[in-house]
Parts: sequence; structure tokens; C-alpha cells
Amino acid sequence: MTDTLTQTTAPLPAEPDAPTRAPRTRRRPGGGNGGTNWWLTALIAVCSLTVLIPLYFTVVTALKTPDQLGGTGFELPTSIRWENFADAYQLTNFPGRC
Amino acid sequence: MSTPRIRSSIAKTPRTFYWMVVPAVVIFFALHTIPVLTGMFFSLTNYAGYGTWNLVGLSNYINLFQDDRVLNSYGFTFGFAIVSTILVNVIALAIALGLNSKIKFQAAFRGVFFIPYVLAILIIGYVFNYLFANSFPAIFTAIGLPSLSDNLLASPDFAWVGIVITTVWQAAAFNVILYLAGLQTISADLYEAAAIDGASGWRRFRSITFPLIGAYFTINMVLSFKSFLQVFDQIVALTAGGPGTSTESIALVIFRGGFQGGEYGYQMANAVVYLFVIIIVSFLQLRILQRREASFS
Repeated sequence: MTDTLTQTTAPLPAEPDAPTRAPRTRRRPGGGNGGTNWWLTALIAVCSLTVLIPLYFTVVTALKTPDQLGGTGFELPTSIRWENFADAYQLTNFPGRC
Repeated sequence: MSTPRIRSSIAKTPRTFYWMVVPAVVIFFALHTIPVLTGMFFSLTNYAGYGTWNLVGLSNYINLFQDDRVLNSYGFTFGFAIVSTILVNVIALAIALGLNSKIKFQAAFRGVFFIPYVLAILIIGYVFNYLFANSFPAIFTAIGLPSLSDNLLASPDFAWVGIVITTVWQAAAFNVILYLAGLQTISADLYEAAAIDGASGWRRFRSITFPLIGAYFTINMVLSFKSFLQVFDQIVALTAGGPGTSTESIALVIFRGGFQGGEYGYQMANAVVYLFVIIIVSFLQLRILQRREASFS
């Protein structure tokens, strides 16, 4: 690896005019070689489901009535029960405990 | 005459310093050092956590090495920590490489993969407990795989897999952040040079990326192994050490025996041994891994 590195860096001092180097490095991030890697984006998106699905499950479960809890748990709630939050707040006696 | 002047000049400069440091030292000493020393003292007694006690010398330590429950917990904890450390580091490095390349919505995906880190592991454990106990069996039954439809956590042989999955899910997030930080320290010029030389993607990873994030790899390995040796919360939420005692970690044995089983002195001895085991393992890991880090001098 050290050999290849010295090979590539060796020609650089041979062309000493700095102005030609500066635009080249500026052009590269704009587009040049490729741009967005859509296959990798799709792969990352699929992997992110491993994080998002348990979170979806948690949020959905928090909104269900007790009799909706059967099945896989991933179904959307048929009726939303906001009282779960009020119950949790009261049962844990949240601000009073602290 | 000269001595008081020196003393006053020393005292004048660090007054702020003392105001910042002394409270921290006092609090650390009172809340950390004294309890540690107290625990070490009780490890030499037969104290049950209540009542009277006598000094029993080193017999607690001798009994530890003949206690199957303790030895099993060491076996389980080390196996769990090794598997989890490898999985977490491989997965986190792969995700970090993906998040560091030219993908769309890069910032959003980085945020998503960071979410597990900000959630409490105990709560994640209860969520996964429900998933393992109800959701996955229902899904496997629905898609026609009834052989997989048992509760993973109820199996004495495979309950540890559920704990590993939960742990990896949560712990990968922090390692991804560290690896991302490491990847961003690598200059793009190196990849440009490698591309000119026609290096393949794998070759670029093996010869440039991995050697240059060696320090991050070391710290991730040491920190994750250390925290997995201390595994406690996940197990409380998922299996509570069961079925039987098949998933009891060292910390769980210390907690249960010490605070619920009337073995306070004995489990303090276990805790002292455990402390030194973690210190020695971490130190060895640091030495070995730092030696294989690339030096570019």
C-alpha cells in the first residue's frame, strides 16, 4: 500500500501550478463520479425498518384498548384510546414520586 | 517572606479550580469509593443483609469457585458478551459504512439509527418481550411455520438469542455513531488515490478504511464488551434469568442473591471478583487491540 501511495503522490509536485488543482477538487463533490447511490439508499431504508417497526409497534400498542391486544400486535388500532396515557400518568403517580 | 508569597500565589490561581474539583471529589468519594470499600469489607463477612455478622476471612471467595450457579452465570455472561460484541460491531460498522456513503436522506437515516440509543433498555426489553411472546409466534403461525411459533424466551436453550437480539438492537446505535465519527476522519484523497490505482471496494475497506478507524474499533470493542459483561436490565425485562437459571448473568446473580436471597456478604465477594474480571479483561483487550492498530509513522 505504501508503494502505491508514493506512486500516486509522486507526480503531484511535477505539476506545480496550484490554480489547476483547486477547480478539480471543487468539481468532484458536485457530480463527477456517480452521485446518489440509490441501491445503497434502498438497502439502508430496509435496514432502518428494523428500528422503525418496533417503534411503530410501541406507539400502536400504546393507543389500543385492552381487547384489541390480540393477534400479532402490528394491526392499526380500530379505536384509539387516549385514556391509556392518563391512566399511566395516574397509576405511576408520576410527578408526586419525584 | 518568600514562602508565604509563593503560597499565596499558588492559592490565588487555583481557587476556582478547587471550587470545581473538591465538590466532585467529595461526592465521588462519599457515594462511590466509600460504598465500594464497604462492600469489599462485607465480602469478608457472612452478613446476610440484616442481623448480625461475623468475619469469615476468605471463605466466601473459596465457596464462589465451587458454586454451580455462579459458575454458570459466568459462562452465560461471557458467551453472551462475546456473541453480542461481535454482532454489534459487525452490524454497526456495516451500517456506519452505509450511512457514510452517498445515499439520499443521509441525515434522516442517521437519526433513525440513533433512536434506539436514547430509549431505556428496560423499556425496550419489555417491548421485545411482548414481541417474542405474542407477535412473532402469531406471525410465524400465520405464514405456516408452526415449528418457530414457540416463545423464544421460554426455551432454556435459545432464550439467550432473544436477549442478544434485544441487546444488539439497542447497542448498535451508539457504536454506529462512533464508527461514523471515525469514518469522517478519513480523507477523501486516500480513496481517490485508491480509485486511481484500481482498488476494489473490499480492498479499499481492508487497506484504507479499517486500518484508519483502528482506534475507533478498539474503543468500540472494549466498551461494548465491558457493558455486555454487566448485562442486567435486558434480562430483568425479558426472562428474569429464566427459564430456570439458564439466562442468569453475573450482575443478576449478585442482585438476586445479595438483596433478595440473604447472601449479601457472599455476593459482595462475587462482585469483587467480577470487578477484577472486568478490569483485567478490558485491560487485556486494550493492550491486544491497540497493538494491532496501524501506525503510520
